[in-house]
Amino acid sequence: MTTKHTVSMQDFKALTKQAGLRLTQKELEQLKPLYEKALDIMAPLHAIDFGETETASFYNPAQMPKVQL
Amino acid sequence: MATTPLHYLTIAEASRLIQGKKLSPVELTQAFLDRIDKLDGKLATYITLTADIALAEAKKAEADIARGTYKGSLHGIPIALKDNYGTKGIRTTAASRVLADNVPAADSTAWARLKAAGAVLLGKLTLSEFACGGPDPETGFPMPRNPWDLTRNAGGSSNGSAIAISAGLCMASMGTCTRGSIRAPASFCNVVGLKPTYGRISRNGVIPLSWTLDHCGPMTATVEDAAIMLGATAGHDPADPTSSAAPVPDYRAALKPDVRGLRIGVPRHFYFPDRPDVQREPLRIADAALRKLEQMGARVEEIEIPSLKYSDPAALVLLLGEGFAYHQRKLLATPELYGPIDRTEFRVASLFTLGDYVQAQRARSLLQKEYLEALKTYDLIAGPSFAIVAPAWDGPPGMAVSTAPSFTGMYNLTGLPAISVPAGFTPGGLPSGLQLAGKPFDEATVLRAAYAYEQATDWHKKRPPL
Repeated sequence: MTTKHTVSMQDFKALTKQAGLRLTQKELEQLKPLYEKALDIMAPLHAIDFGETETASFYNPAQMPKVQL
Repeated sequence: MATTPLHYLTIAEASRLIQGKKLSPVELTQAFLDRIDKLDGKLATYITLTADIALAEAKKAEADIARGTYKGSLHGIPIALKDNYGTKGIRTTAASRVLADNVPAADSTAWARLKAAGAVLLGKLTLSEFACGGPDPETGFPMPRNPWDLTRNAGGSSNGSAIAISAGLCMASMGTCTRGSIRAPASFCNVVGLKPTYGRISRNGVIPLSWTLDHCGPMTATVEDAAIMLGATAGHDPADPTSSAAPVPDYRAALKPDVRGLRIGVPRHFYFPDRPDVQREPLRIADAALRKLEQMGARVEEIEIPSLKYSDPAALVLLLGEGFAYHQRKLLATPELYGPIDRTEFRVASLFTLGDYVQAQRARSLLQKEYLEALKTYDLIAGPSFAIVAPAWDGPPGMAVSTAPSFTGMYNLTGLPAISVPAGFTPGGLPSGLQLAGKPFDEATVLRAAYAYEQATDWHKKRPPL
């Protein structure tokens, strides 16, 4: 893996605030490198064109209780 | 004359003695309680020991059997459960302060089925907090030590289960697996860990981590015992809408020590990489095991599954993303109740985007397609169970956010059945497993191949130096 994602502390603070996290400055500084590492790990998911591939999850009507018509 | 100590009997061996009234369930249960008393102070596997309940259940089993009511191979057999399996009236903590006082009102379906089969509950075993990542010493819960080397742990998350079986502190356990949490500790402790097909065993009553990736599965000393436990727990459950109505075959009857003609595909490009975060010894051990299977008559061939490069990122997003969704309210309100590993990683997941999640599910779709295509030609896909041997306690903490490759997560993503079976030891005496995966709901072939390999080797008979 060669990509190294970095996020500015200002942007990172905004992201965490939007997510509802209330973090101290120390917690922000500890969390940011892990988030950047996660971005590196996830990068291949966004680098590929999946074409017509659908999502794996699907809804199975057979699992629903029988409906009286 | 029995030479095996009672605590190292397999379920199959003990059940024959119990059925023949040559061994009392009470004597067997007491043997485990004595061993727990002797060793668990240093191994730290039990969160809750249910000694009184265990002895009462054992006495009832003994009385039932004396009256001629023998329920089958699990009657009177002492087992323990990973402490995310709900047990009615018995504390179920998921090794977290968040659930320190949680007492379920109902049994999980898997435990209810084992109980109905006559199993005796010794207690609830420690795990990584909420089954996520490696053991976190700051949760305040028991930090289990690997019996093969007390300076090491058993990874996660079903670490207590793997250690307890290996050390003779229970005869079998039920674990859960989201990205390898059954197979990794099994590999680190020289026991058998089976993650069945998704939906094979009901997840009702088990505290979730990721609904997409979670599986329940047995952890045992032998493959035959895994077949027994699977047979007792598998089957549709109306309380779990993802559980399958696929018929449950007699897994034990399908065990034959014969792999002649079985075709085994090995994605060497993924499982045998040349990179510093993959240790050489697990690969050497797995390679030797594959050569053994070839000598036994299996056809082992190299194959390509190109989408495996998306397995780690997809599993990361789904595991942590769904885990965060489950914990969101409590995490945001009382983050201090979580250990630092879970707290940090769920916080990272709170920043994942919808696009990350959808792409992960699309990657999963591609991976499923490629695996099912490969399984049209091959009966099994094989490789090492894990990229490393048991981690040291003074090493870096086990994190889900890791660049090290997972050799197990792809089978959670695809839902295919996969087993880790003991396959050898490093020169330093640490165990490592061989992983065999198969077609959907074809646990019978997975178990048969694992059984054949196991019976042709002695790895599973080795005991830790306790």
